[in-house]
Amino acid sequence: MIRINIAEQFSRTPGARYRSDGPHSGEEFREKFLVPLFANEDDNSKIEIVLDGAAGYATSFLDEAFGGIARLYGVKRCLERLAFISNEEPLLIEEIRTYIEEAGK
Amino acid sequence: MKKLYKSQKHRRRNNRRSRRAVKRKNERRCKRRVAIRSGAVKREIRLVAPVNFSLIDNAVEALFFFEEFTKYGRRKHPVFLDMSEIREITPDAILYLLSLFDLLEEEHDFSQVKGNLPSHKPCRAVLLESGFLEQLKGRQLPRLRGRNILSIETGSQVRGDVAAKVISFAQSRLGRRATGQTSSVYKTIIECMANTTNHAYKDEAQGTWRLVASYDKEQNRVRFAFLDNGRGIPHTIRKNFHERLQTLFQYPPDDGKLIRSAIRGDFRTRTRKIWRGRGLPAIYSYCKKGEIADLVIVSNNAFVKSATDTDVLLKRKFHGTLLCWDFLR
Repeated sequence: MIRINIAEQFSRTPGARYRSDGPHSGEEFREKFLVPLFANEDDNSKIEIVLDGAAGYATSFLDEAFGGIARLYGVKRCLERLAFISNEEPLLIEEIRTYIEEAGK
Repeated sequence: MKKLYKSQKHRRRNNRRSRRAVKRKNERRCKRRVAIRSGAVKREIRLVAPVNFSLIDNAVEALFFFEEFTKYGRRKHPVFLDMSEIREITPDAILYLLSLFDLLEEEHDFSQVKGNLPSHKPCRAVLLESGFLEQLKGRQLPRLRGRNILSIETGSQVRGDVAAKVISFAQSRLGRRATGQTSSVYKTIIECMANTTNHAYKDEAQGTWRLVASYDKEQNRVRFAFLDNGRGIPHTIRKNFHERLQTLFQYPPDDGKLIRSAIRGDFRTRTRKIWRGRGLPAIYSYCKKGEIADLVIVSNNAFVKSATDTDVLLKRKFHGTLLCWDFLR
């Protein structure tokens, strides 16, 4: 299992959607951390994303990071591989799942 | 002791000198009067700021003052902003005044503005501690650090570090430590910055946002004000066919109705992508859940109070978008 702690490995202050918006965007996170893990079609290992410790996650960040990866590699694959830990804000997990599911529409 | 020249010769000389000096003074006055009449030189206009200098609490008078300032600024008339009579002041008005300075300088090359500070000490302190004078170009003053107001932050990109700094100020004043309790405020600020970067300005031109936080000790709350001087929410959101037709026939739709539609999540994003346009609805949801309080949005001709889902049509246009909200203990 691969574990990604966003606050520790990426930023404690996540930004908005695109790189052009500013630093620590959802697009940057997706390309740096998620795309390399999804690139191999045969790789089905679990990816655990730890959301705790960051100042907060804008909807645009979450959608571009996780909705974006679902738009690229498919909703089913994302839901199967991605697992989330969010003790500070449990509702974030449901929010992210919604973005992933809507990516298939 | 000074020698007194009483001789006839000295008296005649001194009289000639004083007559010449008076003549030169009168000539200068006459030249200035002629220049004013001909329009070459403009008389300075004195604009008196309202006693309650606040967009949130006194939008009508404040907008009148700002409109007069903009009017004379566009005509390149020298202006004196008389702020001496201010007895109440909120940071949103300070932000808007700064944004108008920028607007007039960029679009009309106007910078002939003078002014004074409020006589009322607490208001004077708010103005100085907000960093107002520093934000005006050409001012190099030592930064005054206030306990109850965080200096105005400015930027043109989404800056999570700035949002975190503002949150930290709020936490220190309200005694809150848990991130989970402040994440809604953080997300609101990020969404505001993202909207400014992505939608407020035409053709992806880089615009500026301003952000300030102030602590109200009596009510134990921190008030945030975020402003950009872009085109305004009603102008930038997607309109349906009926609304576009109304605009075409000089009968534009109600700005308040448009803003409320956007914050409800009625798919108003110009990008037309189904996964976009979530920012304003997210901010509205934090308000409805009580995570942020008293959300007010002022943009173009609308003053929207999200807490009560009401809006007021403003007679005078607000240039840009202002969001204010409170964070309670």
